[in-house]
Amino acid sequence: MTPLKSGTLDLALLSALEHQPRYGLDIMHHVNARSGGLFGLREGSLYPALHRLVKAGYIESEWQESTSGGAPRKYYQLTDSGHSALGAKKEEWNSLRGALDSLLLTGRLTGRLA
Amino acid sequence: MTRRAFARAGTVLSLDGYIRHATEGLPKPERLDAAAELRVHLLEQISVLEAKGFAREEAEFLAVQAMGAVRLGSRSLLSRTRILGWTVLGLMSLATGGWWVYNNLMPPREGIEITDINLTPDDMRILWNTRDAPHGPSANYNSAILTYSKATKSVYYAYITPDSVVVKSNPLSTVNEYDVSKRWPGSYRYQERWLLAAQEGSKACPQDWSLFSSIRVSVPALSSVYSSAGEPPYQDLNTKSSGGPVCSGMKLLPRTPSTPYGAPNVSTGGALSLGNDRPYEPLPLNRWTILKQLIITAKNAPFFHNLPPNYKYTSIYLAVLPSDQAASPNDSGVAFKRGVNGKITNLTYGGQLLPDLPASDWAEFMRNLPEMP
Repeated sequence: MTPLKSGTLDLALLSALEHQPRYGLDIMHHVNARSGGLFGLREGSLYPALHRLVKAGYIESEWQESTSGGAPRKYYQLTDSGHSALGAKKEEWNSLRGALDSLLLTGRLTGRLA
Repeated sequence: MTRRAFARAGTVLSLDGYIRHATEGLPKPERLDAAAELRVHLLEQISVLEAKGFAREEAEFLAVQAMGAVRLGSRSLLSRTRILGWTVLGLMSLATGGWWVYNNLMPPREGIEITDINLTPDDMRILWNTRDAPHGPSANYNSAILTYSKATKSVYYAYITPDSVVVKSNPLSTVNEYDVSKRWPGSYRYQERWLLAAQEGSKACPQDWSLFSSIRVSVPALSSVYSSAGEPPYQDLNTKSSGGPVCSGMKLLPRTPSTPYGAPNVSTGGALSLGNDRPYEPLPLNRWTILKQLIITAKNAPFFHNLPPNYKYTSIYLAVLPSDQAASPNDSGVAFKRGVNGKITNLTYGGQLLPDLPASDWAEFMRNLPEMP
C-alpha cells in the first residue's frame, strides 16, 4: 500500500462501517470490491488498523453468532465519535480532492495555453 | 517483520504459530480476543480454499501466506505495562551489575576512615557480649576502619608508654580472609575495625580478653617513674583517680559484604586522636601511623588545655605500621634504643628492623611526630 493509500486507510475503514457493522473479512472484501482492487487491502494492514481505531474510540467490536452457521464473528461498528471522525475526514478529503483537482486542471490549461 | 522479510526468512508458520506470532506482546485479554478473531478469519479462508479443491494443509498454507505479516502486538501496540516491566528489569539488572562491580572490582579507599565515637550495632553487640570489655559512659571509645594498601604483607602494632614498648606483628598470610589470589583482581584490601578505649576492663587486662587484647599495657609502672620525681600518682584520662591499668586493643574484622560502616568524624577532647577534623587519614606503607594518644596528667591536675607550659606530663600512644615485608607468626622479642629526647630508635621485632617511633614524652612526641604524607 502506498503512503497516500495508507493515509486514507482509516477513512476507507470508517466509510465501510458507515451504514452497517461488518467483520474483518467482510470489511476487506468490501473495501477491495468498492475500490476496484486499488487498495489491495490485506489482513496485515486491516487488523492493526482496526485495533488502532478501536483504541482511538472510533469503532467498537462485538462478537456475534454467524448467520451462516459458522463460527462466531467479531463485528465492528462506528461509535458516535467514529461518525464524527468520519464526517471530518470526508470534509478533509473533499477539500484535498478539490485542491488537487484545481491544481491538476490549472496545470493542464496552462500546458495547453503554452 | 515485513512480509518481504517474512518470505525471505523462509518461515512458513502454521495457523497456530502465525496467530501466536501475530498477537505476541499484547496483554492477555486483548491477545485472546485478537487470536480468536484471526483464527475465525483464517478458518473461513481455509474453508473457502478447501471448497475450491485445495487440501487442508495447502489451504492452511495459502491462507496463512495471504495474511501477510499481521503484527498486532507490534511495538506501538505493546502494552505500557510490559514496556515498564522490561524497563524495571533492565534497571534492576543494571543496578545489580553496578553493585557487583562495586563490590568485586572497586577496592575500598585505602586509609583510615574515622568513625570515632559512632559505634555500629555490630560493635555494640560484641562489646556487650564480651564480659571483660570496657563498659560504661567513660569508656570513650574511638572507632575507625583501617584499609591497608594492596602491597601490605604484614602489620605491626606498637603500644608505647614512657617506660615500655610493646610490639606485635600480624602476618597477613595467616589471616584466612586475606587471600588476594582467590579474589577478583585488585578488588580486595585488608581491613580492620578498631575500637580504642581509655578505660580499663572489668578485669585488669585479662589474658582472655581475646577480641581486644592484641595489645595491652599496664600503666602502674608509670607511677614508679614519676613518683621518684615527686609527682603524685597518675591517672588515665577521665577514669581512675589513682594509677591503674589502661587497657586498649582492637578487634580484627576483615571486610565482609555485611560489615556495617559508621558515620565519620566526631571529634574527641582530651586526647590526640585520629581525624579530629577529617573523616579520612592516610595509612602509608612502611611508616608508623599514630592512631590514638592518651595524655597522662597528675591527679587533680588542671585539664590538659589549662596546664602550664612547663608542666611535666607524658603520654601513651598506639601506632600501626603497614609493611611490605612478610612477618613470621612466631615473631617476638622487641629491641630498641632510647635516642635523643626519648625517641625510640633501632627498633626491631623478630629481628626485623622497624622505623623509629616518637618518644612518649608529650613535648618530645610532638617534636618527633612522623611526617605525614
